[in-house]
Amino acid sequence: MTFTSVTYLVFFVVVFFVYWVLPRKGLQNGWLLAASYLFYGFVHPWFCILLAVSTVTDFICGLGIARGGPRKRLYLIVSLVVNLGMLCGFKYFNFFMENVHAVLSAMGLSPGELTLSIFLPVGISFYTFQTLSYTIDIYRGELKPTKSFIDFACFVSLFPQLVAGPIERARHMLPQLEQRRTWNQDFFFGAWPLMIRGYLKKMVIADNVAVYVDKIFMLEEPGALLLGVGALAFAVQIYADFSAYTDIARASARMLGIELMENFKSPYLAISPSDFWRRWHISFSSWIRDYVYIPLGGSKVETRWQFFKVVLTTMALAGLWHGAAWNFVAWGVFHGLITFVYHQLGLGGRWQPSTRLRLVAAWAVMFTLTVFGWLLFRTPDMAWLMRGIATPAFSREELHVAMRVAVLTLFYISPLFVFMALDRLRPKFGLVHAVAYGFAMMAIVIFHRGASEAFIYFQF
Amino acid sequence: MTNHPSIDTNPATKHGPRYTLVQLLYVLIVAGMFAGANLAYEGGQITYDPRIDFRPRDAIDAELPDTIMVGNSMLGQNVDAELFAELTNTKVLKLNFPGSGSFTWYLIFKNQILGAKHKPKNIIVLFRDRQLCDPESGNTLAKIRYMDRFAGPYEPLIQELTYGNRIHDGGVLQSMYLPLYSNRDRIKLAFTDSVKYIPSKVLLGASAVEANWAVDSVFADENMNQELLSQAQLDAEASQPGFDHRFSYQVERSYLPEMIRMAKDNDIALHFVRIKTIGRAKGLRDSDRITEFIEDLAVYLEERDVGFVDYSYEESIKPEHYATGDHLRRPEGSTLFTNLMFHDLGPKLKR
Repeated sequence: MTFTSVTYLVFFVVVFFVYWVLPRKGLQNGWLLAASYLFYGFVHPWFCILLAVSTVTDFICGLGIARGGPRKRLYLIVSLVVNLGMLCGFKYFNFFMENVHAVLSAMGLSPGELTLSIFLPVGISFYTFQTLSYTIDIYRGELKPTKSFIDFACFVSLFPQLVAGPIERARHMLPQLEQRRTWNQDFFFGAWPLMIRGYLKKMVIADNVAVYVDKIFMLEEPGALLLGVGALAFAVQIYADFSAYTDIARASARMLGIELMENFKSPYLAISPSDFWRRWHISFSSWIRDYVYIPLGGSKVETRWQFFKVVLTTMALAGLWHGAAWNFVAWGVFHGLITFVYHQLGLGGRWQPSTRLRLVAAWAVMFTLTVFGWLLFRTPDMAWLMRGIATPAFSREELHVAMRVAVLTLFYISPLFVFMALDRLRPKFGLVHAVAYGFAMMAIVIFHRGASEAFIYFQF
Repeated sequence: MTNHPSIDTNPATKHGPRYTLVQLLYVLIVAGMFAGANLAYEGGQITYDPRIDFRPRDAIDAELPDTIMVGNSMLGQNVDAELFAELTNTKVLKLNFPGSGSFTWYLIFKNQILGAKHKPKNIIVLFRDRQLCDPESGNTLAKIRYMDRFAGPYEPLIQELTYGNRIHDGGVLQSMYLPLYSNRDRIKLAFTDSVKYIPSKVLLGASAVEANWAVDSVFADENMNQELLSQAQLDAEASQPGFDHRFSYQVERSYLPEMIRMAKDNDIALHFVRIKTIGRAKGLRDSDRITEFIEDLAVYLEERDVGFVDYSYEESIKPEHYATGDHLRRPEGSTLFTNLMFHDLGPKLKR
């Protein structure tokens, strides 16, 4: 069930009204849990089995770890093995075997078919990370486990954020689920603008820009000009698409009295790689920081080489999380490399340029690097990308295409600039905002494509 | 160690009634603007260009064919009509409209073939995947173009099934009360057309026609990675909202029953041919839902004594037979396909 379907609208209305008439916390969470499993298993009911396995395992492991004693470590290992095992089995098995096959073939052996027909359950990367953070936090002594299985299961499966995040932390979510939510008009007034903005980003911007992005990345031999404009359009598409999901998820949860974390803070205004990762997919980047980068020693590195190793490993894993393909690893490594270079130049961490001109220059450089990174992310294969980059010449026809894609992308993204200006100039919601949202609703109705694309991050 | 840090996620309402009223006013402004725009928009009055382009009808009366083939560019490229005529020893006329889908074929049936003085003995319709039961199928621009060319002033079925995107009951309500929605293709085109030609005109001095030609030539099928293209087509068709994969439901929202009725009433033998795409030649398979849908379609047609040949998995058509996308190379591919059609349909044609 996707947010852009009529099914979701009907589903949400029913969930919403029943939820708010339930008198007790236990009933509210039980209802949310049932709704979340229906949401997740709507097309493929067997997905729910995996979700339940992860939930039961981590609930038991959480209690086991908190009891302490010699088995504390064992419980953590069980949690890691089950969650990462599921993730690797469903997401990376074929990738691993394809590479084994390629290596064996290169050695002159004929290993036969090694891959399996595996269907990747949507959201598995998100909820396994969410439950892992729960057991690891308990192991570290930073969190006490919940004794209510329903509350915990609700935390793992909460439908607005189950499929594509934000990857919530137990310390943020459980306190909300452990108390009864009482209706507050702010839930509604705070949610509807966010929801309209989410649908605008997805159905007007992302889906329409995707038409040309898909065509460019489907070309057999595009030149550098088309690659450049395709990468720019993809940068718009992926931001609009993913942040739309977060907006709709946050708005849906807010309607139910639950506050999800922010996932994006104007990422394309970043002035350095560190800044970018503080603004882009924040729930994931903070997860990677807390559970990969710091445990690898990232916060205490003493030499340049140590830092290089840690940052590159962390970012390569972050890339791999996005998908079982080398281009995602390359994207991660690229971000690792630029993070390292920026740090070595003294531009890491929370560096701020001293003048406005330097700020603009820093933004321009980082934006260009980010867009180039998206090329690595979106490319069908690396050889294709290299051939394209090595073809700077372009025909008059390609120039027409590049200009059309650029102008249409600007056209579709223009409402975001309006909202950005409104947010800055008139932070308090008022009449002007209401009018802007009125136009946004009309734009959704007029510009949405009949067949809405699935959210990009579903595949991860 | 703390249990869970307390956070202020559920603040009690401290606002007064004035706050509520102001907030409600904002919501009403948004809803009011939306409703107002729909009331003000007159595009909801569905109108057609009442003139019909009767050139196909005139061609039928001029050539007096025994068999008429109807379809889109796949028919144009994949079938050698002269060879088919020679093999079957009949007169064959090919009516192919690039980018067309089932509603155009229905209009051709109704206003051209049945409008002609000469009645053919056979009609063969070529389609891809499940286009036959999808009243929305076909290229968006082509759809608008063919609507104006071939629809008359009164086309209730077109209005019901295609014009307002009225596949579902919800769609019917939307087009009644949300004209912005049911006319969104036209409004959207008006907006994007006013923007997309600007750089080509200002910077290159090019007309809209030249700019369109340039874009079409860069994104021509032959410039695409054929495997990705086929996969994209399969994905799009497998997940298209508005298309219900329950055959018995969807067929009643398609032109197929009416096309069959018209053929029967006029004693014309009707045959449907599902072509093979390059994706399938390269090993891609239909989704389970589409497989089931096509199986049900075959049963439905057989029960009504309508011919159906499905070449989706025909092994003799190989990737090297394709020129671009779903289009076969000429003459090798088209000769092979025409011979296959002769083999399967030849004996069944009415003489």
